[in-house]
Amino acid sequence: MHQFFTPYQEYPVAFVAELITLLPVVLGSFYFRSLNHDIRFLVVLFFLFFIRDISSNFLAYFQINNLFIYNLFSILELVFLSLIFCYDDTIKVENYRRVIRWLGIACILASVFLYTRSDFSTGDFVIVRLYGIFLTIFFFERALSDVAVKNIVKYPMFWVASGFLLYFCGTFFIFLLSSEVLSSHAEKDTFTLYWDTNLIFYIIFCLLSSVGIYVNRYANNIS
Amino acid sequence: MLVMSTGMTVVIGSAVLVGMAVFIIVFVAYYQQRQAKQQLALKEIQEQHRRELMAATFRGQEAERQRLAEDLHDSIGTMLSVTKMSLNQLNRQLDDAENRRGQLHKTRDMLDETMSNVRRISRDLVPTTLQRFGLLASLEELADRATNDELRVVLDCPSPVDHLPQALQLAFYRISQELLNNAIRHARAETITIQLYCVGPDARLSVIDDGVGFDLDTILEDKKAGLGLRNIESRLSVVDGHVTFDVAPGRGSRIHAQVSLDTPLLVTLTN
Repeated sequence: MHQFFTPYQEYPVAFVAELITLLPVVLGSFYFRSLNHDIRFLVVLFFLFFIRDISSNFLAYFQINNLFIYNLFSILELVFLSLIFCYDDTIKVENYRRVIRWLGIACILASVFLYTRSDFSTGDFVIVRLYGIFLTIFFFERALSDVAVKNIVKYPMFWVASGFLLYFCGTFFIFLLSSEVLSSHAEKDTFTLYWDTNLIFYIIFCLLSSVGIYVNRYANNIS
Repeated sequence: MLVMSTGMTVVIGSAVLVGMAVFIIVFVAYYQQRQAKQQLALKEIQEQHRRELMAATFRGQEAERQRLAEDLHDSIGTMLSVTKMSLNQLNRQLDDAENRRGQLHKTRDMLDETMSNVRRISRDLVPTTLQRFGLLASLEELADRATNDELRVVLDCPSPVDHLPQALQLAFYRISQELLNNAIRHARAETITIQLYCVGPDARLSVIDDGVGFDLDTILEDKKAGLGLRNIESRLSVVDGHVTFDVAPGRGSRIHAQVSLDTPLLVTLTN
């Protein structure tokens, strides 16, 4: 089992992040039948995050470069971001979905073009973050304009969008300058500091998403 | 030095972005809550306006009924009485020819019937008993008038109801009138019970019959047939009350109208 999980003594934040990933997965599996489509995609995304973590740990255990997994997942994140926001039924305007779809396709194409295998693919990570920040702000703007949302705090996508926004804003500069702070020639302390910061924002994202999954049960009564 | 400046860039940039993200999230939550409160207040004002309109409509309806009843009583009723007196006089002057006398009696009977019809219509239009003696007396009169060989109307009112506001007494009277009419005309009931209870802060009027019942959804879908029931709902909405229909085809109906006497709307209407 030890080759699948990060050792707690060495990397406590990474270990906690891997465990926290299971929270939305377990919660989502528990309520899966009653979840909206957008939240179901979110649960699947967290499950894939978990798979990514254990597979990258497995490769790291055997001293194999695992960065390509993270780079590939940034493209997968783009796909799931599009699906999650497209399937959210708060906003009834078709133009909103069209913008998400076409921008998503453009971002995916750009990410494929910028994909690198052996190091952190800065372009891919930056594109995911920019697209994510755009989607969340777009969502908030639409949610405020649409009078159908009665109490946004009880609305699952509010928590999910908040989680995405904090995660992407908190890690944007880390990945923008990842060629220096997260690259293979960066000092170990520097790498750990920024990687842990990234993981802390990821933990916040997990927790807020879990709240979103939990409040989904009230979603049908609020709009 | 380069790493240091990169680090500073990451820290400051991230701090600014996270600060903005937190601000956006808090702003969205706060602004949306405020927006929702405003929506709720607007809805409340619209509802209040609708109720006031409804109350004004009912007041206008009652005033019109009053005018019609007065016209019927004062002009048509008087004219009919005078015609009857004149007919009586004519009767005395006529010779004993049996066929003429018979025709005269027939005409007088028709006049009597017309006069009693005018009185009934006038009474139905304006519940003078309600205005003079209150809800209980008017319901007793309503029950007495409806009772005959085939139908028994029972009034069950164990506690005094004089303290009920005038607007509520009128609403209850009109609702009883409507439900009683429905039970007689459509349900073919043999026994109808009108219950009027004041329990705690609530006043409850129930009309229970042993008739053939009806399908509520079908009746409400039909705009014409459901008018009476919708009218009951409208009357109760004016006094912030509600109606419960315990009905089904093939069995008797139980219809309950309930109003809380503490409702500020009722106090406003009364004042």
